[in-house]
Amino acid sequence: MSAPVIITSAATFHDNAQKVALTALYKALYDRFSSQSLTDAGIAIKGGSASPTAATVNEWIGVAGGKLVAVAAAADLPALVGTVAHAAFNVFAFFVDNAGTVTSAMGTAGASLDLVIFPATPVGSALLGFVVINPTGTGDFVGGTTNLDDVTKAPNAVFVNTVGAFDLTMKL
Amino acid sequence: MAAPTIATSAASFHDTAQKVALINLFNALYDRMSSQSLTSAGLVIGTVSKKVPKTGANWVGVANGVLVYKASGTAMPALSGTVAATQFNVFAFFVDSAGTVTSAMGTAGATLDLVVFPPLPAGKALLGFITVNPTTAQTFTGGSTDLDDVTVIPATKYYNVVGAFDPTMTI
Repeated sequence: MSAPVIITSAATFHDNAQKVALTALYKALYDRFSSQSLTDAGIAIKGGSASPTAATVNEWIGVAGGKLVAVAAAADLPALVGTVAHAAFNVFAFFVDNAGTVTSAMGTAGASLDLVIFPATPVGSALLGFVVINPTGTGDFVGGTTNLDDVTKAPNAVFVNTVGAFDLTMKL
Repeated sequence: MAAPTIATSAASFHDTAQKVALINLFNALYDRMSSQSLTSAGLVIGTVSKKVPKTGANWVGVANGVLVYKASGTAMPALSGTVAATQFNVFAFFVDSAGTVTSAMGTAGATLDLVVFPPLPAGKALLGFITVNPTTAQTFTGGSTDLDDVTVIPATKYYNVVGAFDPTMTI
């Protein structure tokens, strides 16, 4: 079955506040169901070592705004932008919109992984995956400059490939 | 916690139109949560027949709240429909609560993002799908053309879906 159109369903509510509230709730849910990774991109450091760039290993397919989108295997992901201070944790997430354009966004750093705030997922974009950075060596990790396997800064990059619908902001 | 029953919750709405709208919205969400793949089927080209894919791994899913299983090596149902030269389309494989597998073709597009995925039948899990994009001047005929036909060159790709998704839930 095709899912009902939210606006049409919400139109049955004559109280405008109820209508707006219901629409907002459903948009958040619907967007995650129609914008997500369907396969594992196998994100890894570009070329296997000595690079500030992450790349896909596998061909990836997902759905963004209800449209099938693909990213080729061995495709460079966008440059990381932002700095992670020594000892802090942060994430760099990669999103794909319904034109197949990949973007990256940094989260908000935390002193431990559970204190990291994930970047907001753009409406109509699939989360392809993300990289966790926690520099435990000497100095800060500078996105786009520091190699993801730098032996001095030791960013401890962990590559995470998300599959399916998830939204960290949908907490009870 | 167990999910509340939609009908019971919706009964508190006295406006019938609102009640129906809420039920329909929640039905769509509930159905995808209780009808989905839980593991990768590892779809690959079939061996007995190369006109259909087969599972390359044991598969477990849930369909309408019931656990369903397909053994590794299970052939998918015959593909039905044609894909014109250079077009993209998908053939999706669904499993119902009795374990019956069916296939459905999408609506073709000139590029992958223009393909319209077939509707997800209520109470059925999407096991996976294949994409077909004949790269020669030949038409791919589901059920007749081998998935690796060297003349048509369907450029078949196999995708295993895990989790809840519904491409019709656009905003």
